[in-house]
Amino acid sequence: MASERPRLSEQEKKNNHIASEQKRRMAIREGFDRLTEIVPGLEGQGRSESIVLKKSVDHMRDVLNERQQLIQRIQALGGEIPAELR
Amino acid sequence: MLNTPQYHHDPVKFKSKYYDAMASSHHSSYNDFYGFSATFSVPSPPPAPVGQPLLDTQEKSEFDSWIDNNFNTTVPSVDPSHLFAPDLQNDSQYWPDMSPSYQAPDLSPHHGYLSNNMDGYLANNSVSSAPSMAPPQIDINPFTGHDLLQRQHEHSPPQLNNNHSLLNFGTDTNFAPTGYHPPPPVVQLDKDIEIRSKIYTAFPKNDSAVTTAVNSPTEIKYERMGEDTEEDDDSTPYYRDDDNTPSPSVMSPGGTMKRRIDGMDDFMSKSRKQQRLRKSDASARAKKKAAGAKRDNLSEAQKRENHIHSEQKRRNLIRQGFEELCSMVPELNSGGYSKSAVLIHAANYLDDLKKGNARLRIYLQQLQQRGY
Repeated sequence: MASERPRLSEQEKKNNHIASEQKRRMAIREGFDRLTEIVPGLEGQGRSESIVLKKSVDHMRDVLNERQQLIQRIQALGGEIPAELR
Repeated sequence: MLNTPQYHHDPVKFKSKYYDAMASSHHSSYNDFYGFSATFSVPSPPPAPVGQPLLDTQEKSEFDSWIDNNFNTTVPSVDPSHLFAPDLQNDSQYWPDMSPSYQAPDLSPHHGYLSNNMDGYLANNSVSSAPSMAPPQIDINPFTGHDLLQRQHEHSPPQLNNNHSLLNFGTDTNFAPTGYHPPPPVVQLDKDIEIRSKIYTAFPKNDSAVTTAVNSPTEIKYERMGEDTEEDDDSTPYYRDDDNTPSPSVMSPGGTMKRRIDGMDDFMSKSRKQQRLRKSDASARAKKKAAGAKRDNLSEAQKRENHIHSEQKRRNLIRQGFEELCSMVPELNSGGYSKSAVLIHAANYLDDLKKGNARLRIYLQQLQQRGY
C-alpha cells in the first residue's frame, strides 16, 4: 500500500525537484542546440534564446517559400508532387 | 645711461610687470622689479655678499631718473629690455663671464649671450644638486606678481631674492636654473572635475535616462530570479511562466547581464550588445560618481524594478518566438507543449522541410533535363 511506502523527506523532495528542473532545462537546451545546428547563421554563436527562436522562425518561412516555388516550377513542367511534400 | 644689452624676453609680460610696479611706485624694490623667477623654489645659489647692495645710492637715483625720463608718458614704445641695464654693472658675481668693467656687449644672437652667462653661472656655483624639488610655482599673473614679490621680501632673506631676480631663462617660465620643470597638471584636472560635477548637479534630477521605461508590459510581475535560466520548475507548458511568485529577495545579480541581453531583439552580435550595455552602465556609474550623493537615489528598489522589467522583456520575446514556432509547425498547432517539445518538434519539422525541398529540387532538375 501507499501508506507503507516511506514518505519522502523535505530534503529528498527538494532534491527531486532540483533534479527534474535540471532535466527539463537540459531538454530545452538540447532543443535549442538542435535548432542552432539546423538554422544557418546560428552555428558558432553564443546564442540567446530569443535570437535562436527568431532566426529559426525566419528560416522556416524561407524554407516554406522555397517549397512553394519548387512545387510551382515542378507543376509547370508537368511534374507530380508527392502527397507528403505538399 | 648705459648701453643696453639685448635680452631675450617677452616684452608683453615684461611690460605688464612694469606697469604693475609703476602703479604702486615701488621703485625701491627694483631689485625684484622684474622678478619673473622670484617665486622659483629652486635651491638657491650661494648667498650674495652681505652688506654690499647691488646699487649704491647714486646708481639708484640714476636709475630712478632714467625710469622717469623714459617712461613718463608712454611705456610701450620703449624697448623693455633697457630695464635690465642698471643691474648689470655690479653683477659680476652672477654674470661671471663679464669683467666688472663690462659695458656694452655685442650680442647678435641673444641665446648665445644667455647661454654663455648660464655656463659661467653653472661653472662658478657648481649647481650639482639634483632637481628633486617640486616644479616651480610660477605666478604669471601680472596683477598678483607684485604682491608675491612683496611677500617674499618679508619672509626670506633679501640676498636670496637678489639672486633669483637675475636668473631669467627666456620666456618659458618652466625653465629653472636646474633644468626644465613641467608644470603640474593636477590642478587643471581638479578644476575639470569640479566644473563637471557642477554641471551635473545643475541639471534637475531625472532618473528616466537610467530607468528606461519598458513599453510592453504594464504591470510588474515578480518572478523567481534566483533560478538560473528558465522560468518553470516542472515540465508544464512554457506559457505558464508568469505565475506571480513574489520573491524578489532571491534575486541574484550573477548572470543577470547575460539574461538582459537575451531580451533584446535586434540581431547584433552578442558581444557588441554586451559592450554597449557595459558602456552605458559605466557611463551611468560615472555620472553618478561625478554628481556625488545626489545621484545615488536610484535606489535598490528602482534597480530591482529595472531588472524585473528587462527580464520580463526578455521572456516576452522568448515566448513570442515559441508561439510563432507553434503556429508554423503543424504538430504544435494544438498548443500546450513544453518548451523542449516545441523545440524538438520544430527542429524535426524544419529538418523534414529541408529534406523535402532537396527531394523536390532533384525532381525539378530531372524534369528540366527531360524537357531538353
